[in-house]
Amino acid sequence: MSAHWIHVVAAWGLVVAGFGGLTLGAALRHRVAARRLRELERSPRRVA
Amino acid sequence: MPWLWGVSLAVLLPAVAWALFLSPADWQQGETVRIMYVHVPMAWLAMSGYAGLAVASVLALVWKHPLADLAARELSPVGAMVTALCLATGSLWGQPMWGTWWAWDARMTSVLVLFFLWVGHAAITRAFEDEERGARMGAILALVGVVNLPIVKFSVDWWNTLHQPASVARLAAPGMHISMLGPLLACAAGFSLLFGTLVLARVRAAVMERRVQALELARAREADRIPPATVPA
Repeated sequence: MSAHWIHVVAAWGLVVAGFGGLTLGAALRHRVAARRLRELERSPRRVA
Repeated sequence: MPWLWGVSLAVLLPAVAWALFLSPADWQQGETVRIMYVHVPMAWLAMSGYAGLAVASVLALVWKHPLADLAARELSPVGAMVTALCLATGSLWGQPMWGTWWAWDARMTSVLVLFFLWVGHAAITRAFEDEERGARMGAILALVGVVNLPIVKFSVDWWNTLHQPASVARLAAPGMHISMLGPLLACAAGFSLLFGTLVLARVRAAVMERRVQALELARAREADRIPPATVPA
């Protein structure tokens, strides 16, 4: 692989890592919040 | 949401293949020109995203729209990331072409200022316990920072810079052959869709987190009001 291609691969790799990381982060946040919401909605409310 | 991810990838993946394998190498730059297909879309997204942040800030400050606050808060980390990617890919492109990773010329410095504005917004909106106060401070910072956008855009015309002048968005015809302009525009469309989808996904997650917080708070208040069941003697 030529030195030029190394720069190309590094640049594209950073973009994939950046978008991939934030996408995974958003998916994880959504999953955690959705699970907690389901738990809260399932748990019985205390009625006076 | 899954369909939006699908549309983004359906546009982006062929564009990536076009840019990396089907478009020609440059007669002077060789294969290094393929960095352009990520560097330029990141630069456009950094600037157009910031314009979007400014619009959300106006909506939040003037009309006090709660979703505008949330959108601005979720937009700034993504904006900071694309601006960082613009700087990093520019550096990776600059080193073999100019012989340097960095120069303090007007274009690069003004993009670095844009990056600090994005990071500053992300930090300031999260710095206060009172979220409304943080959002207001962030909106003011975002609006003050708008002055940097024309400086980024016209820096290559106003000053002598190492960075080249505009090749696509200019009054005359684009100074680029269609075999390179095609994949560049396709990549820009794909990355723009991905950027928008990512911001929407973050806003959606944030809305859900707020619902969880509201429910937890309501349950805690309810538990405080109701005395524990008394055990008969």
